[in-house]
Amino acid sequence: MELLERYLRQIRRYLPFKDREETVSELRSLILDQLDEQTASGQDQTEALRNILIDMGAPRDVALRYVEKGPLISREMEPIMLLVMKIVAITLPLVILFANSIAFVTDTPDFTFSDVLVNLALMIPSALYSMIVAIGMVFIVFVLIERFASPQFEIEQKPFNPDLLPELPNKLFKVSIAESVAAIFFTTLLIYLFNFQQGLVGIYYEGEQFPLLNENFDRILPFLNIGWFVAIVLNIYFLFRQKKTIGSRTVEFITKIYGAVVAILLATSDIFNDVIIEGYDLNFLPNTFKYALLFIAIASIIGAIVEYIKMFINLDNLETAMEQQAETKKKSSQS
Amino acid sequence: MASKIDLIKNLEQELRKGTLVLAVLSQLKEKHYGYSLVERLNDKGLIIDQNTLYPLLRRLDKHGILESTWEMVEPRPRKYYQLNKLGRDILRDLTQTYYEQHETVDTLLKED
Repeated sequence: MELLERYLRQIRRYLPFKDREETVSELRSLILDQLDEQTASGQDQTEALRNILIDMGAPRDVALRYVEKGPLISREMEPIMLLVMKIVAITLPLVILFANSIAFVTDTPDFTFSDVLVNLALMIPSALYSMIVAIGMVFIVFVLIERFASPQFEIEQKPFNPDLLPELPNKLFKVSIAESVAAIFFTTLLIYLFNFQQGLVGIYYEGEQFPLLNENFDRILPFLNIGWFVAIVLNIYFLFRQKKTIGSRTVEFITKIYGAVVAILLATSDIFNDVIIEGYDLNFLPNTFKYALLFIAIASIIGAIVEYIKMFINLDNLETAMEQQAETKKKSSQS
Repeated sequence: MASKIDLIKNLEQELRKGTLVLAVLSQLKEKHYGYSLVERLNDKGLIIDQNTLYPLLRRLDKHGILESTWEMVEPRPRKYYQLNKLGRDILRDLTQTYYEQHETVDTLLKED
């Protein structure tokens, strides 16, 4: 029965958002009806289910019958479009960089090699930009071809093999209890420390205590508090529900981005107590802090975006599917 | 150019497509769920692929000519479809059109 859920899960991916659950429930009930009948005539359940699924066809094909409009790019057209995109992505920036360097060399009579390199470096952003625009144009052209020319392809039909269906989701929507508890504990600690015991964050010297942070930090503190507070609420909610939903993961995503933005704010403000920094010769501290925090903030923004997009396209499932495919290939080449 | 067999297959498909909706509607005067409808049509000689029928039912339902209900019938909930008032009217009109066309085409085919 796990196979059926794996199958339905893949169908769900390709169904339009509207009526998605409805269609899946109906398909489940219909497949089970058919299965009942076949097992009643003495067939092995697993084998019967496999045959029914093979009969129904690949998840994407099944789902597409429920989509009134076809896909923007058909699966036959996709490899051709990707090929054109790759060619454009490689050649266009090279052509632009090359042409620009030639123009630079001819326009500047007494250039040095490093001038050329600097000019080249300055051109990289616009080369990348034109590459993105060109890829977008290729996509639009292919969509138009698909819509108005609807070319027909003759391709070999690959039989659908249910064994290659990706496993059911593992970690995407699961709540790690330890992670949530730890997050609540440490966030509470941070709130307490910075709001009520700020004095503890400082330098201790000969029985005296000097605060490490200045009033710029106090101005940012409310923003930090908002983020921490939301994080605590969210983690309590996760613990309570024991599973994540698209909604709560969206809140989680926004919280992460918010946190990273506040971190950037923190990194770019001068929050250290000058007296301490100069007095104890700690000049390395603000800079190290600044770059480390900026790095962490940007990495966490990228990480959050990737995680969030992954939820929609189930990259982790794709990986396992590819591994399985590689394995079956190996097996078939051995035999 | 497509082969003769492909061409015939294509044209036959198109010919079937038009009558398929009518055939399905005709059976939905009574309440059916997807699988029972496939069985019934098959029994009566109309071989229809489930992958064609299920999305078709859904489309007809969306057009508002069917009434769909989830019903708990052991061992599992099933989605039942039946013509509503609009559906019955449409079926009557379509049937009329079908007979008229059938007659015309019939005369045309028998001309020589």
